[in-house]
Amino acid sequence: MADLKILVLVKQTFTTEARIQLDAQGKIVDKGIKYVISPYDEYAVEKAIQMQEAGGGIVRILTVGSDKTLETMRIALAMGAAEAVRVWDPCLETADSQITAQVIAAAMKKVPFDLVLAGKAAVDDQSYEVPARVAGLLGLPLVNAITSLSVSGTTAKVERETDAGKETIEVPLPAVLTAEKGLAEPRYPTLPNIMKAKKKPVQVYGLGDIGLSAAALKPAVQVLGLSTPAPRKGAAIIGGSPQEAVKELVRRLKEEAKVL
Amino acid sequence: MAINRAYVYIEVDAKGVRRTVRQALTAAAVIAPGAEIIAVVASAKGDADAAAASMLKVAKVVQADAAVASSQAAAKAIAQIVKAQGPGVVVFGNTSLGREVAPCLAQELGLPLVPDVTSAQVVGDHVEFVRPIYAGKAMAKVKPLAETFVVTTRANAFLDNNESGAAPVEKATVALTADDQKAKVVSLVQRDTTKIELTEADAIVSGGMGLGKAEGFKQVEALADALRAAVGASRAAVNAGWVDHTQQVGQTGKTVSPTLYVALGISGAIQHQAGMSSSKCIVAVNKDPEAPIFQVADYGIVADLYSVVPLLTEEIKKVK
Ligand SMILES: Cc1cc2nc3c(=O)[nH]c(=O)nc-3n(C[C@H](O)[C@H](O)[C@H](O)COP(=O)(O)OP(=O)(O)OC[C@H]3O[C@@H](n4cnc5c(N)ncnc54)[C@H](O)[C@@H]3O)c2cc1C
Ligand SMILES: Nc1ncnc2c1ncn2[C@@H]1O[C@H](COP(=O)(O)O)[C@@H](O)[C@H]1O
Repeated sequence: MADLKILVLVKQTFTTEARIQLDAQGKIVDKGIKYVISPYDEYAVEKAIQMQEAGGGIVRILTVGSDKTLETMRIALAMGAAEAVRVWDPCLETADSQITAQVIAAAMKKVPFDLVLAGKAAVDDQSYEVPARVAGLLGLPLVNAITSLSVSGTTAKVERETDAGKETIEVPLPAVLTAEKGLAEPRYPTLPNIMKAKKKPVQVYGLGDIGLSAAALKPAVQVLGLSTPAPRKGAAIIGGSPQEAVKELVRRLKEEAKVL
Repeated sequence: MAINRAYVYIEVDAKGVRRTVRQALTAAAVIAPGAEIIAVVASAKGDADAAAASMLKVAKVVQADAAVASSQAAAKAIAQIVKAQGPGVVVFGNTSLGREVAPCLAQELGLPLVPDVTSAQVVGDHVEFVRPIYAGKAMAKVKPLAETFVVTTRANAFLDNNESGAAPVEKATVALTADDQKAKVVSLVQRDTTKIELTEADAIVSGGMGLGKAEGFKQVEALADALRAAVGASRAAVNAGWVDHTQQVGQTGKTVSPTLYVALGISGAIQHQAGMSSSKCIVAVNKDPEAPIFQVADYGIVADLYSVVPLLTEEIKKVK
């Protein structure tokens, strides 16, 4: 389809290098942690930009996030997205996936699109939930975890690897498709493009602008508390010659760990 | 309020009902003690799947009487079955199919979804779940805010329910429109089911850059065969093109928690650790004594893996 309008759902997350620590109140300490576009969303952004470069059209990104997300949105813009839309209200600070999906679906009524790309999961909550709920709310078809995508006319052809095998799927547009690693290799934005991105439009909506209110957003789940896994002790190093070490390892796996 | 009905979504592969389903059955009994457990079949090969499910220890099998060709269609079919049979929790294995159908169903029924849980506990009048977040770097205790809800269970977090039964199969009329089946599978190259799926494996042997070359994975495979284990890899090994990306373990790959995880020539970057550090027993072979993998391993051998792995494979063959 010429002039394809692609909307990419982008979530800002901690970089995957981050160690998770909790404060005395059991809240995650975010001090010193770097933020990035959630890696699967980055594959989606890259793919969208490659399609825009090859066939025209326009790439917009949509995020539900506070003004702290501006920096990562600029990265998507510097990669080549044309515009960004951000929706925020302080009540969304504790939003669960269902609420996030409701907000995204409502905001999408204000943004024209033929194709919605998202990450297969956000690397923080890993819910695999938001795109499916968005698709359900808007009556759009959904295909998760795609590794290739081409559009001809108003049909998208995608491939993905499931537990069943390698599937090739055809789906009419508009549709919601989520990205798996392998869909596209994200580029590093160039300096001139970083500069250009500063002038690209970022539309900010409050809940009222998209026809919602804080009172209408009812949570589906409640987080009762967070914990971190007990640190592991560290390895017992088994020494000796390779022959000796291997014999001793197998003995301990059998007798001590009882895993053989 | 006690939940008196639990639905378990049936997935069948070439080897029969998947283990993830047997684990979901166990979870259903924990979430809803004493409840009537109903196996739900909403798939493309309905009759065969229903026949396989009838051998599980469940009250009955309810089979959608329409061919279900997409996840969204499956969700619509299950929603209609739940509405006809009566409210209950719906439990899925957190498989590639389960985690696609489950949120569609939750949306369809207007219910909470608690994905990828590793444990469940009834506390007073509600159920509390634990689910890993940040790929296992933290755990969240969550409570669904409705009487019934949809859950997906992490592979191997619950024991297999291997009890057998002879459940009656009931066909349920479901109405699906063309709109519900927009996404069409035009071809499927089946997975080699002789290979164990990573997330379901009891044992995993993973290789990293320390193998030095693609052929190095032959050593990994030989050890894996001896252990009847699945083969995993670090992202660097995947990026080098040595193995398929579906074998990547870690924050942007698969999260695994097998009984035994063997890391060969893997440094143990935090993203890799995130995906495997909840394994029961971890063995690492690395020539660098400072490699971070030794901080999470239970047993380590500091050596050139090529001098160790062939011997280890032979030694394992003797005891397995
Ligand atoms: C956004 C993002 C997401 C990521 N997600 C993941 C993920 O999901 N999974 C993942 O694994 N990584 C992930 N990574 C990459 C991660 O940071 C590491 O780069 C990667 O895990 C390193 O792989 P490796 O251990 O195989 O290689 P290296 O770090 O190069 O380690 C090789 C190890 O082999 C040892 N070695 C070398 N030769 C021998 C020998 N002959 N015998 C024995 N030992 C030997 C070395 O001492 C070294 O410790 C991610 C990175 C980013 C930025
Ligand atoms: N706050 C958000 N803003 C925009 N997109 C989001 C947001 N949360 C989730 N998504 C999208 O939904 C995908 C799956 O997220 P999740 O369901 O949380 O695992 C992400 O990869 C994003 O593409």
